[in-house]
Amino acid sequence: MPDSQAVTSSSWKGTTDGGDFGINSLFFMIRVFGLRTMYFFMAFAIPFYVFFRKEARTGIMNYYQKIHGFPKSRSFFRVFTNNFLFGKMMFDRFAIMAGDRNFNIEFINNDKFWDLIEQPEGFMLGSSHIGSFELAGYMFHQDKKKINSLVFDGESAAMQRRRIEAFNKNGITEIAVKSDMSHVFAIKNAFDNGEIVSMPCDRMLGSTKNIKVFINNVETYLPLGPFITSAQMNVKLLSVFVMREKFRHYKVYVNEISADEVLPSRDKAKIYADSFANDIQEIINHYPDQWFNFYNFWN
Amino acid sequence: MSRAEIEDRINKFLIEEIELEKQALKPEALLKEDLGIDSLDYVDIAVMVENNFGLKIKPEDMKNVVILGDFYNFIDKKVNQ
Repeated sequence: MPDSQAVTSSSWKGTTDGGDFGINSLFFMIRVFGLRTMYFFMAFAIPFYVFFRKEARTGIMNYYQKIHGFPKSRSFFRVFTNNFLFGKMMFDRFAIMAGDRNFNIEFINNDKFWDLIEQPEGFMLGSSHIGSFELAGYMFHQDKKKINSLVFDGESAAMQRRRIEAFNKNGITEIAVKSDMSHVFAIKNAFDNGEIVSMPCDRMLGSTKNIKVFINNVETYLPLGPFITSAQMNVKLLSVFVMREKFRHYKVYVNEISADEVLPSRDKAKIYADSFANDIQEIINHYPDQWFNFYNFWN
Repeated sequence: MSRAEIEDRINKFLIEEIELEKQALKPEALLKEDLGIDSLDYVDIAVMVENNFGLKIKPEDMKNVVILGDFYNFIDKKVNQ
């Protein structure tokens, strides 16, 4: 078998745009000018993003129309709000990755996380492209359990380097999705060692098998991978959403997803997926503008 | 454990859990391309190997496992080491 290669996802790749120079420049400018100034300048770029990225625009418009029942004109204008918020949260993330700790973080129901930290078993954090999950790793920083993050292996070298630096500072290790499937065994070993693995529960990574769920009564599909992994490897699953409230203020929502232990793995996975979809529904109804799957998720 | 017993156990698992056809299970069959085994199936395989053979597979162990025969050989070697 050839050396490990990145597996391309079947839809949007979930990478942060920009080459090495662009990413490094952003880190530099945030440090020099500060966040509010960066938000201000970014606002001028939003119309270009909205008009020239048709797939992203139609994907988000479709989301507002289908999931929130907004009319077409209102959905169109909310695409600008959505993109602006995404940009703000991206700058916030870069600032935190660069070491800025001047953020107010409010935790909702995070006792379960800290309970599991004290247990010898490993567990899974279910992530999504809603809010800013990547910040969870920094917000749940502790010394008892190593956190592993399953990532797409296709971002720019600068972004990967920055992320690895920031991850390392917070005791987080990357598990990149590889074509030789070695990531599956890395995940298994992490759980066996009592570690935490975070996995995206709304994006196909490595497998195209999915599971039907309903969000606001709209039929859609979530990847089967994280749910079957949790069920088959018999590890607890927490859904985690990191949502922006206002300038330098985030809320972290944690919920334990569980099913009857005696059920077969496939049945447990279905219950996990339904519960995760329910958590998504509650979150996006409360934060309708923080849905960041920039493709037509609902088809 | 004999080689035949190892192959039987693996084949039984692939037929019952991964739902592969018995006639497709030839040693020269490519795991991904011919048998259609994807990462979710590997999750099941990782758990099956531990439950059936008491083995933990390291990520680097699978790099040279391309065809079903490689997998039989890998398990045989590990079990009878």
